[in-house]
Amino acid sequence: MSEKASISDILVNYFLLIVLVVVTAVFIIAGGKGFLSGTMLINILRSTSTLGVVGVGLTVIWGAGEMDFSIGTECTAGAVICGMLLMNDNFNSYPLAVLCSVVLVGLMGLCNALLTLKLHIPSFIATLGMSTIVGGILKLWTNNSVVYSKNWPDAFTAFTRVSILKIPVIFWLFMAISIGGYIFLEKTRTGRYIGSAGINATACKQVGINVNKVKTIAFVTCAAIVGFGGVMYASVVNSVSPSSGVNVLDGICIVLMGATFLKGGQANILGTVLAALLMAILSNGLTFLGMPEYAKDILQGIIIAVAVSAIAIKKKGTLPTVSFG
Amino acid sequence: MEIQTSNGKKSGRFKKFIIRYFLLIVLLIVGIMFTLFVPSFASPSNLLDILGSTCITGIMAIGMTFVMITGEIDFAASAELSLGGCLVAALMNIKGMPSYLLAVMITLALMSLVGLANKLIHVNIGVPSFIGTMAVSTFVSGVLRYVTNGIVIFNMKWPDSFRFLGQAYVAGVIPVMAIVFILVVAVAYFTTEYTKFGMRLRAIGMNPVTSRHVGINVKRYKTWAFTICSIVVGFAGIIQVSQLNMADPYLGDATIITCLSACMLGATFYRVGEFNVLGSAVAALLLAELSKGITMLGVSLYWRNVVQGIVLLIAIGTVSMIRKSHNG
Amino acid sequence: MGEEAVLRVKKLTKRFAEFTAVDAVSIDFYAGEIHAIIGENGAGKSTICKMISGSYTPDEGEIILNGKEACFKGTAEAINAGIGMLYQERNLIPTLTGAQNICLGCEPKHGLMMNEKGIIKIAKELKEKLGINVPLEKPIGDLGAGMQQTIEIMRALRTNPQILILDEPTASLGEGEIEPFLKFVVELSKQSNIAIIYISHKLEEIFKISSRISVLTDGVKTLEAKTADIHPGKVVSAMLREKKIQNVTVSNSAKINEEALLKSKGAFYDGKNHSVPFSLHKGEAIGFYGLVGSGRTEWAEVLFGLRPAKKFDFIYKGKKIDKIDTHKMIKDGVILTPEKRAHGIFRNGTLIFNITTLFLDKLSTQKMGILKFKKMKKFGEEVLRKHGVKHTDSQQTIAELSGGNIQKIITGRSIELDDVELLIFDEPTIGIDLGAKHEIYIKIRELVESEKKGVIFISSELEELIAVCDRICVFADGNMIAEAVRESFNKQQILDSAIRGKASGETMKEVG
Repeated sequence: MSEKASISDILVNYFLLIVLVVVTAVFIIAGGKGFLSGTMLINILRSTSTLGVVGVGLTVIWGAGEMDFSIGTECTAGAVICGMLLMNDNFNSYPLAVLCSVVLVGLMGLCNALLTLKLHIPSFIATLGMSTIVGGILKLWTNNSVVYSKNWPDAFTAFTRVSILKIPVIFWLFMAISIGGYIFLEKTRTGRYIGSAGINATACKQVGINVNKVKTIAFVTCAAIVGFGGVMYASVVNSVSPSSGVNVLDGICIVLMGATFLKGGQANILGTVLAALLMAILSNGLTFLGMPEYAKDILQGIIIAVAVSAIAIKKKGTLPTVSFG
Repeated sequence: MEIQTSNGKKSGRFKKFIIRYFLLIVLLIVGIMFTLFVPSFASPSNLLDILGSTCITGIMAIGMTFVMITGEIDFAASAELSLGGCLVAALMNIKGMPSYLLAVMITLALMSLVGLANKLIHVNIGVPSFIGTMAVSTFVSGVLRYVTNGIVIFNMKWPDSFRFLGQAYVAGVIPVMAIVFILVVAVAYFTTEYTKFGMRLRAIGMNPVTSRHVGINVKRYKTWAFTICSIVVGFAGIIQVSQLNMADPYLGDATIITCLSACMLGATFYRVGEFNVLGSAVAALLLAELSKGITMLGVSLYWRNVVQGIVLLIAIGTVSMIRKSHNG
Repeated sequence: MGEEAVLRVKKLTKRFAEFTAVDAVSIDFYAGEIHAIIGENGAGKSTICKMISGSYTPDEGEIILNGKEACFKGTAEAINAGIGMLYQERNLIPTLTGAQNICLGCEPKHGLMMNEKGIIKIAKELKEKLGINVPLEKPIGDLGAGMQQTIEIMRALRTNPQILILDEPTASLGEGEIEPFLKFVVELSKQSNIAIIYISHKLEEIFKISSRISVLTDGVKTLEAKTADIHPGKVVSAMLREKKIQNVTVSNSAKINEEALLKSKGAFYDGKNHSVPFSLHKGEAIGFYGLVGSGRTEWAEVLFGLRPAKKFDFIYKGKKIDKIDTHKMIKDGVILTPEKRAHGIFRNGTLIFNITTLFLDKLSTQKMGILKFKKMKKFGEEVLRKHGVKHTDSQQTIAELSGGNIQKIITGRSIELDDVELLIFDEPTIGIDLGAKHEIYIKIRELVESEKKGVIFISSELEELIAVCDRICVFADGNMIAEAVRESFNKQQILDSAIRGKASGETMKEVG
């Protein structure tokens, strides 16, 4: 067995961390003092938080061996439901609105589960379909416009406005969710079964684990987390619209990049968190340097390509793949 | 596929027929329903319009179908669409560009490079196509927006030929787009169904291991599939730009879902359970019909998304159930 | 040793279409004993165990567990009834540790979270009870096949089964792993009162550890005895089929004067060197014999371009082969029919599709490659007719045909290849009825005698190789180790050579 890891092994395993350090260094050098300013750091933390929460949700379902292409819409729905509910004069309670949001988006996750497990529609198509349907509904509800109301309770932006120890609450929430996600996946029975079902469903069936039940929990958990991420996003921009929230591709990208970290292709929370940080630094740094948004896309594409190629070359077969049609 | 019925062969064959042509039947029923509400739906000019509007997503879906026949997927399609359009526009902006045709040829040639990138990552390195093409997609759209600075490309001085594909009419009634669409479908159909090349692609999609056993070079044909896809989708982009008379680097983003939907729906038609050109074309037509009908009903456009999503799920659900009973 | 058998199977029968896999087999299994079931490939061993473990339902016969008749409608029921099974393929979670895998599905809890210490404790107790040395706290993905297997057995034992079935457990083990594993099985049997059913085709192992042996041959039990009461020779004889292979006429085979079609020395693949030295002449049928895992298929795949090899030494038709490419090999007249039937067909394709995919260049126009459908249909139907494939319509899906007819298509299309010179048939007669098998034998003789082709016939059924081939080459451990010629074919010695891994007997010539 390989006791001594070769240099190439280390490079591949820690690729994400290396890129993170390099990128940060480059920005510090190029951007000078301004890059380390308070505002910059807070922006980075905010971006990391919203993107990261969605990533954590996706990590859960990815671990179960299924895809959730509807995370973009789930995130948007979380924001929109919360915002729209609070538009109603009779509805004043922020916590209640958040709860409703999370529950309703969780129901979306349940639908994903039913379509995938009962109707045997490959998860990537099922979630794509759900995404289209719910996306349309959200557009109808908001009339495809940005919604903002002065009547919203102050609490709406609390996550972003309020800071503890100079760090916005939104980041603490992200940390809490990440840690919670980690504990769930690594330390609870259900979490272990979720990961096991993704690796070898036959083994699970052989020991009597109900794979369908476990996957359903994964779908719903992912949706609920991502929905909450939408609420967090809304608190940052103080408005909701059908384009609120995190992009599906961004979410997939950070889980993919995170999967290369230490685990050779297996989605994991720590990797996702680091990747979210990297993406946030990239976007904010590029903006800071006056570069356009899409420069981030170019770098993102390259980083993913290199990372997954390295895994593919080194250890064939551990990369997540989807079967369709 | 054998469907056992107590009535024996006759009703078995009838059932088979219904399942096979289900999509076409839906197409007709939807058309009839829309006509009941809006009589002008069935007018020839409207129908031709629908055919024309299918052109872009339809051609895109056909490009994608080539890749899906081999059992892979090309997520870079939306980037390819934008790229095709922007490339031809940018080329036409070059002072010395002698003809539109030349610009189109160069664009298509450059598009094949994207296909090459896809094949490099998937066929050569071995990254699953779904991830690999996604990485390429992010990269390409990033480069595209970077190069165009995120702004649309537009030029008053473009010759009429630029707008020919997307805006012209033949005999005043038939949109050129409709004709182009039919031509592309015909060529693609012929290639996949009537040539040994197409048969080999299908074989790879059915079983890559067996394909190797009968001497089919799986890597080489997958490369062809990816290359054809990027060129065809690029062509769709050229037509789109011709229709809008401008190139927008963000144009392709929303289209991947429609494109995938068309391909998936297409697998419920003609050769149930297998991706095929005719199916993708009819499915794209159905989606365009739904879109037009919903617009004509005066219902909010966003219902279109809802309906599209539902149609997709029903279709796939049906196919999945059929395949399950197939495999017993 | 038990007085009353804990498990009895009585007149158990299972058929697949026309093929009888298990024919009225009755065996008694006692608690605390290791009962070995031995037989060649296709003898029915796995099928019997699948019936006991609930995967298959018997067509006839009964299963009696603890004196009561049992009828399992699935594996879950069998597990609950106390029947544990270790399959040939591993099904574990490689990222979890041994202890975690063992406790998978019923981990002890501390409130909401798993009690990792408790997991280790349970696993350790089991480990001590069994007296084995297996690391419990490393991810099992890092462990070797033997350790992984042990862990999976421990997982099966966690439910305290009465009966444990081990299906070819040493098939995937490496050299140094087999001994410790066998020790473990013996310990297990002594410690608990489990009835162990040990399926294998390896004689030595069985004589080392079992207390009772049953021999299955062609679905029939040909011998059952206490291990101590018999010796290996008797088991081997019982394994050889007294079969009704109709005589296949083989004309006088002096082929040395004919030109050598293929001269092989060996190749470097799968990380090591393989010595496969032999010559195949025109008009000659050579049989490749060996136990499961002896490496015959792998060698054939290298020659045919399906398996990459770093170095190889083949001379085909007088010329050294520089580069191997499947398409080119086919054009040069080499064809391989795969060991697994599934790898030779397009399951959802029509019969015509399955036949013509091999002939696309010939059945389409030269310039554009446009398919000539009429020609394809005609050709396909001709092949179907010529090779006696029972079908209803040439456009039907190949999945609807029986195994035998599917094999006829695979073999038939290979034979019809233009300019084919060297045909390699890998296990062509598995799971098909006697009549169909005989037809294949006749075809092979035709190919070599009238058409002067070269045939390599890979099989694990010694009887058919003896009936059909001019020479038999024996493989063991990935190398060719011995050869026998038709004039002096000796079943016992060939089998012995295969088992021992070296030429044994005066009729066997050492090779390599």
